[in-house]
Amino acid sequence: MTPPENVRCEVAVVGSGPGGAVAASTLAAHGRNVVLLEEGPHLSLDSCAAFSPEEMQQKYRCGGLTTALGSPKVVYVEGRCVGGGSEINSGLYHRTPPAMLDRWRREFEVESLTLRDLEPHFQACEEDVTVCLTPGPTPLASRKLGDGAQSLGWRSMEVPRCFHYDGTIGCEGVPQGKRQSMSRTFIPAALAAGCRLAPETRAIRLRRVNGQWNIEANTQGRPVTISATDVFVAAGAVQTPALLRRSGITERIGDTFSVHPTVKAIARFEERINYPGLGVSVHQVKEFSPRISFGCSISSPGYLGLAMLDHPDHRREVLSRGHQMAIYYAMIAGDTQGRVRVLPGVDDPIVTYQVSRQDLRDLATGLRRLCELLLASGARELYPSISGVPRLSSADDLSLIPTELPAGRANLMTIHLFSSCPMGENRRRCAANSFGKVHGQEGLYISDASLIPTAPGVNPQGTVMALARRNALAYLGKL
Amino acid sequence: MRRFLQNTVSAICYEIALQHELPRGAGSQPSLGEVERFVYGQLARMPRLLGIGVAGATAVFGVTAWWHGMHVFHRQQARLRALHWMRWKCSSLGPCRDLVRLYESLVVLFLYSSRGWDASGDAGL
Repeated sequence: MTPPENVRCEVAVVGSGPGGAVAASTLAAHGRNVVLLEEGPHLSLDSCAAFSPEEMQQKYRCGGLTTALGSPKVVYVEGRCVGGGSEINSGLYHRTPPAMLDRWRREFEVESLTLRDLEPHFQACEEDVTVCLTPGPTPLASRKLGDGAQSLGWRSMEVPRCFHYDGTIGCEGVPQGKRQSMSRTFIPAALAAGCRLAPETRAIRLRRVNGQWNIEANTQGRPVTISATDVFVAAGAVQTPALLRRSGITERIGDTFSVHPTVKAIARFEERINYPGLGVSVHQVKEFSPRISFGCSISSPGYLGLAMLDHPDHRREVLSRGHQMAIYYAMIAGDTQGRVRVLPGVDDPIVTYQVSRQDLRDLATGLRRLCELLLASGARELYPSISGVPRLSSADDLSLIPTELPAGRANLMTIHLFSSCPMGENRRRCAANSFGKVHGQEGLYISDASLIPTAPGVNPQGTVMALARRNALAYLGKL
Repeated sequence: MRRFLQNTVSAICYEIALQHELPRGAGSQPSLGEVERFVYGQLARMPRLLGIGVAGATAVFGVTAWWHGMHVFHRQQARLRALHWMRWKCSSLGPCRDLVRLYESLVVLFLYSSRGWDASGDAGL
């Protein structure tokens, strides 16, 4: 729908990623008159090749060139299209670790957040996005993690995905299919239940007028106002605090932004492990979880070339032996709190995140253990993404990795963003209550990764969807 | 100024593409024009403040080449261009290294992605 100048509805949901799509679908299914606003375009999952430069142009915010300022900088990406982050991620799925739920209940005083409380929401969402394990062999690049972990006696697992396997078989006999992103699951369900979708509509600010919320927005260069009794803000851990702060709502908003800082290494094996359509690897090593996790990243030629920028003397290796190479990562649950701020007249928020020295030490430990794991799985050469660290080829070489990543030479990135508006009854620490209602505001709710109190140490989409469903049902009085 | 920036960015793309010259093989090599269009498009999508910073740093990069060759970057000989590029790449100043890294990332991602994999499954690079 292209909104007319003024739209009225019962509930406006701002943002169509996993949090917004689940909330909109749940509310619409219970008869609420819902309008779902999305800043980006409405594109099919197949509008471009997954993980390609075209996808960056079409579906990433700012073409993927977004950075949390600090030393070192942390490059991050956000989806900006109908379906949000679920359209550009790997669809790997985890439930929230029980230890995290315990911590959030204890430190943030979040009510009704035991594993038992969340169980029905996990189950319902898992059915809707068909969370499942691979019904057949997994890619060799992925299995290498499991092999290495087994030989070291470390704990590893195949991570389920939000994925529909369609019976076709790809290289290495790996089953193929389609990722079950929001644009294929909860968005169609919301529309079928009567929700109105307004793509390419950017919410600029919220105003409380006569007991209603007016959302001042812009659609294709034209100003529109959406009036709603209640508003669910689900624009993600950066855009949600930015919108609230632009609207003058600032208490504990955008003060505790957190991420999973990630460092990478390319591994070259003797045998072939990479091929067209390798896609997503599903194994993760959880021996040091939740503090440190290891996995395999997208390893297409473009990303291999990019990851080898720190090893200019060896970049020809990608040309001649790319089929023997894959990119692996060590990810930590950071203990740093960054900030999201807005400046008058500037659309994009300023995100700052100062990686702590402890995090830099943990990243170095993670990188060393990742390299140890890859050597145990048969890797012949390793290329860490730290400028100045040479190619590694034996256990003795691991001592060349510094004990603390040098801030000026570490190339960190993340795709997991959260905690900018934490939930809970502890009002000294939390922006919203245990069910996402913004403290001190009538009819204003948050429904995305901003609510997650601290870095969960696992892919957050499962947590976001379950919380969104739980909180929408609490809003409806159906919990 | 706009023209100067465009010329500098074009010359940077050319310099990086030259350094990463990919052997002719299966698949089609993207033209320099395609690389430039991708880079310009991405720069235009950047957050506004960051984009202003990058434009400023690119202008400084282009102008400071003068000290070593009496020409701005895009008018310099290939050898001097490569030297200026390496000076910034190995600079002790973080912003200089960051600028080089940004352009390298964009060009390399596009070049290598465009080549993809050949029919036998090896990287057609």
